[in-house]
Amino acid sequence: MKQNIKNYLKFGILLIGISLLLYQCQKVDDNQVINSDQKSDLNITIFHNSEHFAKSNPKIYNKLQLASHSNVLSRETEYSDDHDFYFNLDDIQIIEKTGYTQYTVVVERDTESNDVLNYILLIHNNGDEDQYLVTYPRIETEGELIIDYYTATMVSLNGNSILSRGPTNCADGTPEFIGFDQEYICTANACGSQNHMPGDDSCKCGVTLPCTPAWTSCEWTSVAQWSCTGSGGGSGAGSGSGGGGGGSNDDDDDDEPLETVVLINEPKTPCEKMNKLKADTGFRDEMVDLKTAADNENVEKGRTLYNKTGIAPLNDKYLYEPSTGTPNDPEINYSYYASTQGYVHTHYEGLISIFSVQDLLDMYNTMKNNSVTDDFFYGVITEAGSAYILQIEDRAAFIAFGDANLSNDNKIFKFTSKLESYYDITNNGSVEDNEDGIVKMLQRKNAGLAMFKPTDNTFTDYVKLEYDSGDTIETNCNEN
Amino acid sequence: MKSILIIIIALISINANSQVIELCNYESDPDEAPIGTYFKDVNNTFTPFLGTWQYTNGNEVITFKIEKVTHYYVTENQTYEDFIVGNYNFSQDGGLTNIVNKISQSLLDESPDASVMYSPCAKDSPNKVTMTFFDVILDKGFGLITFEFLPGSTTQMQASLENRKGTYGHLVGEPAHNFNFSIPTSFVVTKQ
Repeated sequence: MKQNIKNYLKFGILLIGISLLLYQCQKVDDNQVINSDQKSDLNITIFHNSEHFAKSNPKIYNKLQLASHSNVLSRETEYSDDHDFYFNLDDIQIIEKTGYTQYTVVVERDTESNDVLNYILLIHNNGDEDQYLVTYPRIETEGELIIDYYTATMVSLNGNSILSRGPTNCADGTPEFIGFDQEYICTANACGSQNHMPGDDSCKCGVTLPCTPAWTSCEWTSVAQWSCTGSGGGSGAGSGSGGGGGGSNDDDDDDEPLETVVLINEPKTPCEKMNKLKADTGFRDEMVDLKTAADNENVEKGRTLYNKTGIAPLNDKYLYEPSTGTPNDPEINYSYYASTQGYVHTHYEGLISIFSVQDLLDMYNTMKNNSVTDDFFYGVITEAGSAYILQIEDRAAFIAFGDANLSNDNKIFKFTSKLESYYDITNNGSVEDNEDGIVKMLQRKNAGLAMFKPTDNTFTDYVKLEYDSGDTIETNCNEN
Repeated sequence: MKSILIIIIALISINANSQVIELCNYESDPDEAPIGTYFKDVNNTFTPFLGTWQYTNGNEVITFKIEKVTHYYVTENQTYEDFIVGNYNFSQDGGLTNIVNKISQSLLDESPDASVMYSPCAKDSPNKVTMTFFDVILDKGFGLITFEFLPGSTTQMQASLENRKGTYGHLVGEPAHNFNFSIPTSFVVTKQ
């Protein structure tokens, strides 16, 4: 009996051992995810306003501009046949290392592509410079574009460019992707008006200026690692003085591979913001839930959206805080933090098929808070079968529109009267009439808003609504 | 004498060119109307509702005074318009003292914001009219009061109070919107 128990124990240990071995093998196969829980020591800053970056870092900004103007990409890379590249300096990412600093900007082109291109200007402490073009291919998975790090490539740029000098760091001139980490990285986002960083009270954005205050965002981020040797053990194989990614400079992190964090410009146009929103499957599910509530409940329901912190996949990036009105009473009271990203609510049976004037007022009041960003959107889903999203197109214009029409009770009532008497927007009006009326009104009054509606009740696609010569025109954002 | 004549003729011709548009009946956006346009209560739609109206319930007395303002100059659009404004007194001791006392002998300030009730048009005249209502005791806006004549009556109206329909967001830490009213929300008023 004792012998049997011993045999069972041995067999059990063997099984556990095999399992662990298989698990390790699996990790190796999945490879290149070097670490999944390490706290990053990467020091990342993003400037969202190149004008102010230019003021505080004129030398670097000039270099980036010169690099752009020198058309370095069209001469130095495999894309030399193309001449439609340009640098987008709206967002500038800075990664500071012990021996050098990386400045990354998005490279855009007119031709259609899923690839994300980043240009990196790497400046060593001794003044040497290197330039790289990183291509991050994106693959479509379940309707979403995901970066495929395993096929990412990096090209060293040198030669004729006025910025480049000397040989590359790698013997063959091509740093190789060796893997990526998932690291919890905190990014300091500079104040939209000046260069003040989080914690610097000098920033007047959100206090007296209508711009985005400095903030720090922390999230799990993929950090790609590159080396000339392909071994991940540094890139010292190259000759010359360039030294990027741990090249031959004495002051570099010789044993450290070059690390990059993909930079994708935040969506800025209403269509870009809408494309981002419609790709969010979590948002779609919430919209479907709210549609069900609008159809079946005699109470207004709402969701306030916030960005998730921590691990937040691109297709499910929001947290939803629910709010509920009083049954048979067409009003809903809710609270929000200034970090809100949007608000969507329902109109049950018998309520207007479009935004009410109070809804527009609510959006206006929210946008008057300078701490709320231009990403904020406003949505309504109605029992009548309509649903709409309002995106900010021109915040200043929207505030001016609100000041003129919504800034006190009498103006609001007068505005309501005009909507009914001229724009034919009424509680009992048809979905089409109300839609035509509000689109026309928003355009004629230069309200600074873009209005979208879903193409069906799955909320997977939207069209932009615009007024043109007496008609409401539907435009697919993908055509823009 | 000749100069005066020219000025008078010029003034008359300017006046003659001013467009008069009936309230609540717009062919174009009233905000885009030419300078000098007069939005006039051509059909006297406000008339049935003008005057002093009172509700009494024991010692509770609410008195409304609704007045018409004509040819008011709107600075923003450089146009003129007719509208009605209203004020109210509220007493809980049979009218001896008022806890709300907004009615004055004559309208001292004709601007819409100087009164606690306002309506730019009465599209459902002669049956009913809706006005904004500012609750003086609760110091809150976004109220609406509708006066609707009782069937067959020209001296009694049903008064109903409600909040503007829609969403009311507020920042966390700030007070929520108050949906209550300090006076009854449904009562009958009689012309005085």
